Amino acid sequence: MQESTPRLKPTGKRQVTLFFALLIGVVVLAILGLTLGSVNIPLNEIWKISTGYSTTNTSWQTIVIDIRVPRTFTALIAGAAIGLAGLQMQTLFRNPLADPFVLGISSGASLGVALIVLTVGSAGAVFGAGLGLFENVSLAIAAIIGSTIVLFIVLLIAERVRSAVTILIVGLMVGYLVSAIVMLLVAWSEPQQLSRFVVWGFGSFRSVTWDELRILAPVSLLGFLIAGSIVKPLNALLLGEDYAKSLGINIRALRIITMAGSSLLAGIVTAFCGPIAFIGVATPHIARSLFKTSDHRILVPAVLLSGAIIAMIAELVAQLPGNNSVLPLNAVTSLLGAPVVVIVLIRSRLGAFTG
Amino acid sequence: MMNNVDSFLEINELEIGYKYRRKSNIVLSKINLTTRRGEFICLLGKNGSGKSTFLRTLAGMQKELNGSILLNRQPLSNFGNREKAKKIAVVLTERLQIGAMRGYDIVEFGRYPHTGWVGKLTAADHAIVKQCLEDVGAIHLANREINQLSDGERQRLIIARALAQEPELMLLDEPSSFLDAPAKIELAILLRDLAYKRNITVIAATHDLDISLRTSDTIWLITENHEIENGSPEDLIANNSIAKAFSGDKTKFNNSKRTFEPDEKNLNKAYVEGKGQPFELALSALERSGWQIVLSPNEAQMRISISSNGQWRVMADNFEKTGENFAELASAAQKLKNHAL
Repeated sequence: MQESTPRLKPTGKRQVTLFFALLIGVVVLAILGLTLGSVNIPLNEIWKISTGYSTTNTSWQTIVIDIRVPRTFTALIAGAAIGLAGLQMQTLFRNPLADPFVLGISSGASLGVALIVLTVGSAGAVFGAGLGLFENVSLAIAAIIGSTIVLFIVLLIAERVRSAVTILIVGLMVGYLVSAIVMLLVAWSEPQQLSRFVVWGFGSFRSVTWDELRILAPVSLLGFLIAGSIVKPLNALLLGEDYAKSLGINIRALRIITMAGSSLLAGIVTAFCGPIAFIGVATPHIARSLFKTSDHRILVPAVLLSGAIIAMIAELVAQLPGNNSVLPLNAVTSLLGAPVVVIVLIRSRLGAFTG
Repeated sequence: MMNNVDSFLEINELEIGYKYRRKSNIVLSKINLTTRRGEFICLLGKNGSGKSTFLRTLAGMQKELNGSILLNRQPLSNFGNREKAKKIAVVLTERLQIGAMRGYDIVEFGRYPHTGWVGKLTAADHAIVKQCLEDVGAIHLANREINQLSDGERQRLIIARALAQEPELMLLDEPSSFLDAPAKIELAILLRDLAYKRNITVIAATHDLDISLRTSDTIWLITENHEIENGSPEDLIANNSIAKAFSGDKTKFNNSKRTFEPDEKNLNKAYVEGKGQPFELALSALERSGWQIVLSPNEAQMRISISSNGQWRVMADNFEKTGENFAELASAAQKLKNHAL
């Protein structure tokens, strides 16, 4: 049999180049993440510290090892995780505007976090220093359970209403509802906790400690692996549920796996970084328009890289002005992400989902 | 050529419909049908008569209420999802809602039941995709973005996708509903040829009577009492089944023209004299003006003669008029009819 399809399928050259560009972007931004900050540390010192050599200036060492390295890792991982959760939810709901934040999944995670903070009594690591492994794990589990429950509720309602905009509104309402409960919980907590909860709600990659990163990283990796394992059925789902079924795909199993994977990612990130706005909805669209495809085999790695890049940029922008005070991360991501959503709405014919 | 050709698909005492909290809503019952491989079948029925439900049941997307469906002498429920996808392909009414995808990608989806977990296509898979694109005459759409395609072009791609599954049975639900009249006929002929060439049994649900009577080997007709009658187009016309299944109060089936026409009571009668195309067109102008054409001048209230260059003369009691085009003829006929009423 001869080589079959000349010219029918364009070569992936452009896409390979793009992947390289994104990879370089991630590396450059990671370096910036290590270098930029309120204290000016020479590049060669940073290199020494991060490659394990000791340095004369111990405060520099502390800043790099305990602040800059974890926040860089956190931003890269969290961005990739939220982006991937957004991609899976957009395909699952067949809705270009779905993402953990918009559909209230992050609010569900917040509820879990708020419940733990209140029942544990004194604050968690996010809310103060020195929370143990047990509290961190229970925080993560509570957030994941919270996000799963909200996602399940929204999905149940989405079964009945097909309109993309209606599902969006339902998601918003469920989000408000859950936020209201969170608000009640917060109202009963002490003033100090309240202010810390509000700060947590701003979203932040820099408050994450090494201990938390040790939970965030492996759980996110699990989420990435789950997403990677269902690229083929997710592609089939693009044709619609009935067509996917007719191609031999077990829709129910796919739904459960996708739901589990995306609420795992959304939950774990929300637990430690707060509810991060708009990265989840914007990243898949950016990846789709860069790579000009809806194929999840390409989109999953593309979203991983571009999510990491977007989150890192947002983190750098958040700390830039003034150099001493830090902007709320969600203010930055909203400023960057909200226009993307509007553009998607206006040009929805060109997006992955039309109709 | 093949063994057991007569029992490729066997449906026994099938009852279909929906179950909701133990209450079942029966849509069709007492269905008994068999087909051979490579047959082109049209499933005919009025809107809402249960065509989609029947196709979905055959595709295994919906459970039957009673009875059995045997594919290659095995119950449909014996097949796993993937195995079924290699035997049965569907074309649904649902419109695709995706972008950032090219024609070729759509057809690639057809290979999904045959590929591994990443869905990577081998050279052989690509050859099949290409062949399917050629078979439906859509090779030029391979590199086009699907959002820029017309409904007819998309439909070809979706059918190519179904073919790429290499099914033995292909089920299509109203495949031509978005298409214009010539494209509808083209599609029917395409399906018939695919059935013969690839030895696939093609079942297309449609309410397009005229085209199915002209192209299909067999008609499965959904009758008034919610059963399915099976026969060749000619036999079903001969025994009046088509006429019965489709007739309304104001329509009747014309057996020779194989189409429905208005059936208004107490029509005024007209007699037409002439030849060739002008004669045919005059009949059409009169029919749409609400006149019935009769063969003898004696029973007619209006007589018309038309010459070969299209000049006409209308004669009735106390009335006579001449003219040159059919619009004038129709309006004169309408005027006369209103007077008579």
